[in-house]
Amino acid sequence: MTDQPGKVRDDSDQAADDFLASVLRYFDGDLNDAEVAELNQLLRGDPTSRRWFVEYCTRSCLIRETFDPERQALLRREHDTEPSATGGHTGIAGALRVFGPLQRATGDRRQSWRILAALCVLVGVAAVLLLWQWGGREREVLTIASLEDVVGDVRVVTAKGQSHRIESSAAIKSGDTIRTRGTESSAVLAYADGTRLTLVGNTSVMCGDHRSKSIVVHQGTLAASVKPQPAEKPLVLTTPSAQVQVLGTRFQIEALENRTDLSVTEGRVRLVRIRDQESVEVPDGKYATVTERNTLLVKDIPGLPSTWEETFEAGLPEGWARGKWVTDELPAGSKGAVKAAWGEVDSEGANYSVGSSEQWLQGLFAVQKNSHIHFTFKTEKQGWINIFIVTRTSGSDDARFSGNYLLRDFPKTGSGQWETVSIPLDKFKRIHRGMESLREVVPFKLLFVFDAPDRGLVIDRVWVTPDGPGRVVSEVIH
Amino acid sequence: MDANGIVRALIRDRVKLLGFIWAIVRDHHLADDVLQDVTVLAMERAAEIRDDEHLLLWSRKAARYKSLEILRSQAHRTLALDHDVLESLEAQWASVDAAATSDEVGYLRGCMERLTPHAQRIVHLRYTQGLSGIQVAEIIKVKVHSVYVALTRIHRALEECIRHRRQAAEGCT
Repeated sequence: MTDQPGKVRDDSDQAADDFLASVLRYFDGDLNDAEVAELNQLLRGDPTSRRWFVEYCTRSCLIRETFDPERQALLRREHDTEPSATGGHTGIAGALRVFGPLQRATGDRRQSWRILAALCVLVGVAAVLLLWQWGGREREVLTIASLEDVVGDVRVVTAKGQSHRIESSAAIKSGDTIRTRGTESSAVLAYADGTRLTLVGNTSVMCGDHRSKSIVVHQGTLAASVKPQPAEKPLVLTTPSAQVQVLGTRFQIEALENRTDLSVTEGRVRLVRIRDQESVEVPDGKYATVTERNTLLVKDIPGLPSTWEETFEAGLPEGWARGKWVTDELPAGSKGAVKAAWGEVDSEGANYSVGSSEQWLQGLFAVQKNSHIHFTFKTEKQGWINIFIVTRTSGSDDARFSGNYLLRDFPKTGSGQWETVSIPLDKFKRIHRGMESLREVVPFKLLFVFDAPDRGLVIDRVWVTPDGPGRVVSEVIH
Repeated sequence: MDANGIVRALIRDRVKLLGFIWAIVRDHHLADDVLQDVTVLAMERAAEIRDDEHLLLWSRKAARYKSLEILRSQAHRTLALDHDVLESLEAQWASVDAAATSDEVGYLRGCMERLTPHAQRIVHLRYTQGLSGIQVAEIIKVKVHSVYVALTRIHRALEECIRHRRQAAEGCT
């Protein structure tokens, strides 16, 4: 990304680097008085520094104009709706749409100059009034939403980096980052118009500009119920790989660093890949996935299957949460397995564990009356091993963590032999408040957990079926 | 110039003006607001503006005054650059006026493609999502100093790549 191989850096490179770093901090408001004075001195006395500064500012704005989907959409919309005879954009209304965030109604380009001039004055007065109002009531306006229904580990990090744990509710300001941590955590970001974003699990979002509902989703899962938004000011959710533009609907997104999944339950949502601006409209009942280079396809939201399987043959599945892929000393015919690894399991402290990916949106599998979990495994030492099925509520719009279901009596062999065990899912007992049976909730994560010392748990295959022997059955593999 | 000509020219050259305004107000949204005001003002004064070159010079002066006006009206925002420095920068900005924005966009797109996905992500977080160094550092889980170092190198790489492409294009014409 940076220096070419073999290129020797000299003093001028270092000076340029130092100057650019100083300029970056200038734009963040991070320079102290002495550093500001030094920057002024450089810009005053050194033409090269002035050139660098001008090039930096121009390039930064060019990047924003070129790669910000929202701005590109605005320019495209203007271009589509009001082409002039010369192919450019004409008229004050068109100019204002392109140049600024304040959206104006389309004007008649053939109106007399007198009317245009009057309009100019009116627009100017309106702009000044808006600025005056904004400045005078800044504190009030900057509070853009409230955080409600807080459960578990929820923090707000301000734009200046101060972190506060939220116990019940909080006012959210522009630039605040909201973090929910751990599968049991959730919070609702509630706007005054009734729009609600439910953040669940390990999720981090930042609230953008106070003049529009713009949310940057760093990672995680959220469900949204969006009240109708003005056509020119859609709710915009930006994940690392995609942008979701919403006028009023209900949907869920799950964002990883290089993948975004969107399911729409009501209305229509526009999903834009940031890298190349490719986009699709996703209507209700459909879902779409954005990765770095996939073909954007809109598909039916799949029903939750009653079967599920992981074999680890080609490595750990994408997003697999815990465990180490191993390829030695496997059952005949197997190419890979997962070994329990030491590490933190949510906020519960460190343990040895094997943990599946969190499939919040889709769920892992549907539990039926006679569902069984099966796994082929070995352990080197005896000792307790717990299996957790982590679940959410079944409603897709406002789904929350429901509870963990635990199997305590894991077979204690410790013989180092490979075994396959089948266990009815009704042997798993709910350990959270509530009486919901597994069939009423959606399993979204599976965890095998034990404390030190290491029992040497290796799982070669794990799968769920809607049927089985109806009792715990264990078979040694020879 | 007529009003339509002014609008066309300002749309074409908006990046050059936005860069200048942003340098003063240090807030992209505020820069948008100032540019909007300048556009309205330029249309009002269309008869006084001779041509595209004059328009850019005039717009920069107007943008400087509008920016200072807005900074004065907002107690929490301050002007960090001295007035004489702003004047020097205004003159420096004239040196980029000759570059066609459409060409520069093409060079930039090509050069961005050459960045690593990690570098592209940092650029995206910083410039299209408008995050500060601290916020980018939190997201990519590194120290803020590392973000500034990365951004510095990214800018140096982009600068060099764009210059090569510009020179190559000029060599072809």
